[in-house]
Amino acid sequence: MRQSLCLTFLVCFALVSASARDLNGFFEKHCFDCHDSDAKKGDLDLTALSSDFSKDFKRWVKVHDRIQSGEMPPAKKPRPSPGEITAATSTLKTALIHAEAKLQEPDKTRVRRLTRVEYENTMRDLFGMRLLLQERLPADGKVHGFDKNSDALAISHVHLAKYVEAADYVLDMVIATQPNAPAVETYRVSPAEGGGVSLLAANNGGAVFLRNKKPDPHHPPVVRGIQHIDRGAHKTLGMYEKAESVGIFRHEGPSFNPRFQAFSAIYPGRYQVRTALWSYTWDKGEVKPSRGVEAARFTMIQLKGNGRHGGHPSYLIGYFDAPSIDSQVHEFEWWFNPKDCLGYNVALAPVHIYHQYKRDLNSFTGPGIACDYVEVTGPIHDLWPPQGHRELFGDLPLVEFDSKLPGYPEREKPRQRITGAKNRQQEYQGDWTVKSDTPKTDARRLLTQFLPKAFRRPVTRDLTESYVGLVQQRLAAGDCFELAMRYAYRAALCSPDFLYHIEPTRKLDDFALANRLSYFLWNSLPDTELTQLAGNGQLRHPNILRQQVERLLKHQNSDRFVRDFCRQWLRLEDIAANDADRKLYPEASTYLQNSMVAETEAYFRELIDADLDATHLIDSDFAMLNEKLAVHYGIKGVSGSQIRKVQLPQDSPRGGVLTQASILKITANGTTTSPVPRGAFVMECLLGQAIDPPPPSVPAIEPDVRGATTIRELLDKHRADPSCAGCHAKLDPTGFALESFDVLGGYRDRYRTMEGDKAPRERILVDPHLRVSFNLGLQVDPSYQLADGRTFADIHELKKLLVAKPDQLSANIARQFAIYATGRELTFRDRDAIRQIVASSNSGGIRTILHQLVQSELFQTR
Amino acid sequence: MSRCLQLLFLFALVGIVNAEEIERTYHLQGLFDRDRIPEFRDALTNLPPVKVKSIDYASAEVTLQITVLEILNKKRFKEEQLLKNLSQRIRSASKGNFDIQPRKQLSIQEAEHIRIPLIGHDCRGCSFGAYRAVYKEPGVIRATCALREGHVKVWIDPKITNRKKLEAAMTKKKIKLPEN
Repeated sequence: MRQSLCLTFLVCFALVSASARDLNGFFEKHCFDCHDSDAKKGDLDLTALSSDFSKDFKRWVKVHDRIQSGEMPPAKKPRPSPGEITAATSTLKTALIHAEAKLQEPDKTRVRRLTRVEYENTMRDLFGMRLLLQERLPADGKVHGFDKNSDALAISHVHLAKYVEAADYVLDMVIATQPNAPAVETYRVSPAEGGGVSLLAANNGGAVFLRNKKPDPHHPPVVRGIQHIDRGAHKTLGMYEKAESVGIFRHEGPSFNPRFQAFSAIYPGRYQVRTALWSYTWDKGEVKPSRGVEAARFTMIQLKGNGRHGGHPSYLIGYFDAPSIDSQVHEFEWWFNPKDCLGYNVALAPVHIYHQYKRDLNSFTGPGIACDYVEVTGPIHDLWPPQGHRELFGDLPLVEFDSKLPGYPEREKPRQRITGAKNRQQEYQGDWTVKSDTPKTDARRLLTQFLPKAFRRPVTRDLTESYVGLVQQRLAAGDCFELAMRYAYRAALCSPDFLYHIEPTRKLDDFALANRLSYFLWNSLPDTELTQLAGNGQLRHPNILRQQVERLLKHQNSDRFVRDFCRQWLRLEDIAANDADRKLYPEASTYLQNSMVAETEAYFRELIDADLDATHLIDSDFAMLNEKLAVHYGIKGVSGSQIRKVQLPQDSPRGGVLTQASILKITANGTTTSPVPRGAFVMECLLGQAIDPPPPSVPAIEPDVRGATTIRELLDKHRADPSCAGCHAKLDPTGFALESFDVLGGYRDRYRTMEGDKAPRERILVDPHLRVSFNLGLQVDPSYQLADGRTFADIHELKKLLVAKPDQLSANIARQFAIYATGRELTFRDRDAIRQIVASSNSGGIRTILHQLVQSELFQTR
Repeated sequence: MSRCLQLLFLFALVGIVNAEEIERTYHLQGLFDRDRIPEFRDALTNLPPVKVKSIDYASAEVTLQITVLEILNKKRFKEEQLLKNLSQRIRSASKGNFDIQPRKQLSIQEAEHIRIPLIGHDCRGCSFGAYRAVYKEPGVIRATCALREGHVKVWIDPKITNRKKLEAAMTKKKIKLPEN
């Protein structure tokens, strides 16, 4: 049998026959003792693997990787010499590249459509409007960790139907139907007008009306459980509308979503939002200065139907500080589409006035956040008709038309559709449409300008003419110019030319390169400068390409890359996949969770901006924190909701992505932690080592929620099974070090439990107003040893071991970037390209790796 | 002349009035305390064809001067037609705070006066809420409420309603009444 393997190598790799003999010799000497048909350790019989490497390709790659990493032969066996290892892996590598060439098509990245995120950004940038389109399209799949992968981007009849609907919606929003922009108006809304808030103030005591920084005598606080009678009567008297300020004690949560529904946008556009916030301490009926900076959350809520009931999607705008008892005015600009309104919430500890204090604010002492008002001014248009309309119709004039005439669009008059909203539609100026005296000429001119931009590459005359033909067809059928053009534009926005990344078969041309670069770093279509450089044939020049990467990274659109890449690579999208057990982790809050995500994104941004090397993924002497996270991490001196760079104390276990709360939460289940998923995350996402899925017959380890048995003891039993031991030897070590962090990423010496010993009980530093009902269980033991035998006592020592292999970390981040940018999994032969990218980065950081990737053939080839 | 008299007789028979400007007295709903009088006058500034001539707080009766032609677009009208139209306009002008009804059959002097103690905040909204809980109940001639005094005052027709019924109506609106 062993002879036959040798012979097969000789036959299959005649050109490298000497090497094949060496390889067989290597196997004979170091592997067959454990991995032949008799021993078959780890379920691997090397003699049974197909000698045609393309058939057992993945297993052969593993054999290569294990020998190369030194994992095999195991430490207890005689070690092969470095020369032997090099010779064996080199032969295997040649054979594998040869086999892979047989397996793979020459075109590496398959044709792929835009992801939902790309589609939305493309429409936004094409028309200069902040349209919300993702929810209108089916969710994208994910392959190899990214939704940009061509294998994940299937298309179905549902997609097609949704693309048509979305294109219609976009055109409805973009095409100007009035000769003048809507007048800019200012609306001032009291927070008391939000239904949820007045309910709290009237019934629960979760909110209170304030006047001159005191309880409002006109609407006294809820005391001794006495509720206000008939909120409708209060509303009729205008008491909510006239309320000066409203203070809230109730924490943000899924069942409490107050909103400023008294203003709901009718006209899309930019709006200036102004609000005044302050914080205070409520002391049994008196308003006193606050304990420090508190924060309030503003969201944009997209109301459905008439805006009543719940379930309206909301989007985080940000957290704003309420620093003291003096009102702090905040201003920001936001884009509102029709039916959008502002949501508001306070980021306080969960205190239930109605449960804990029995609806008696005279017995409650605690923090509160007050909002005086929200003022919304808009819609603000710098240009009318807006830029998006001009992309479609240039400077053609708008004329009034008779809506009864056939062939003209049916206009729906803008009107307020949201119950309770007080802003009203402005006077309708009649039905207006675009007028063209030379429709055919204008159609050709407009489409010639629009199509290359939408399709992100030059468009042939024939293709343009086919769209002009569509316009002529509709004109001949009696449609007006706007409808005829709209027909062609809708066809263009639903065509493969728009929906797909069209790339040449091998080397990307300049336009495809511009497209790939732009969708990599902006998640959207190339801008004018990139397109012009591509058109001039200059983009491929290394210096120019480098300048463009710098330009794109400095632009705020690159935040889309940071957000989208982190969302997928570090699985931040799973941050809300489970809620922490409220009894064990009372400090859990939406604010903390949002801060976790903001930290990771800001940290990754900092790595790029400062060009820090990949070891910073494991450890650093700084973190990106706001007050909420700093308190969570036990770091003093950080105040306010804004994320900023903070120098860490010498002995801090923080620093690096590894110990960020977001990562630790994503890899826990809300109640308990396990070294296995955490170890797997570190292996796959940070070290770039593929992990085999668990065998189907082996049950998952269920942590002991009573806290009587540690996860270490449970895993020890699990590893007694030899079929489990191999993988867990690699998976578990990093996970054990991370046992020092609970499900929210808080540092711990002992596990929390509901059944452990009562004393001594840890006090949570996060907020003294939190009710602590958990007990402390067993001691955490974070020590372990890596698969290569190196031992560590805790997270500090583990970090030192991991950063000792910087090339492994750099290669992983380069690989992740490459998958994200090219839209495909990397092949075996791409490993050399990654090695070159890392080598050419020298001692540069993550931005240097980005540059080297963009300059590489890997990036510039389909 | 006789033709005119005949027409007037006919109009009177079917309840039709023929006039441009008239004076009418109605029961005013929403007058739960004295501060509501200026609020009602303010609200009616939004309704130019209707002027307040007088308000009798005790009986909650308001006498209005009405330019019928502007309200109804015609001189001839039925009383119910005028009342319906005026009621709707007054509700709209006062944002739901006030309404009018025909005068009560029973005068305030003839009605039985009761006080129902209740637990609530010293808050106008709550006073209005307590008032709203009882004023539309059958047999209620007049109601006022100032929660700082801790009760709602109601004048009732004892043949139609009583304290128990009104307390039940208030409890139904989740108003807390003292245990005794």
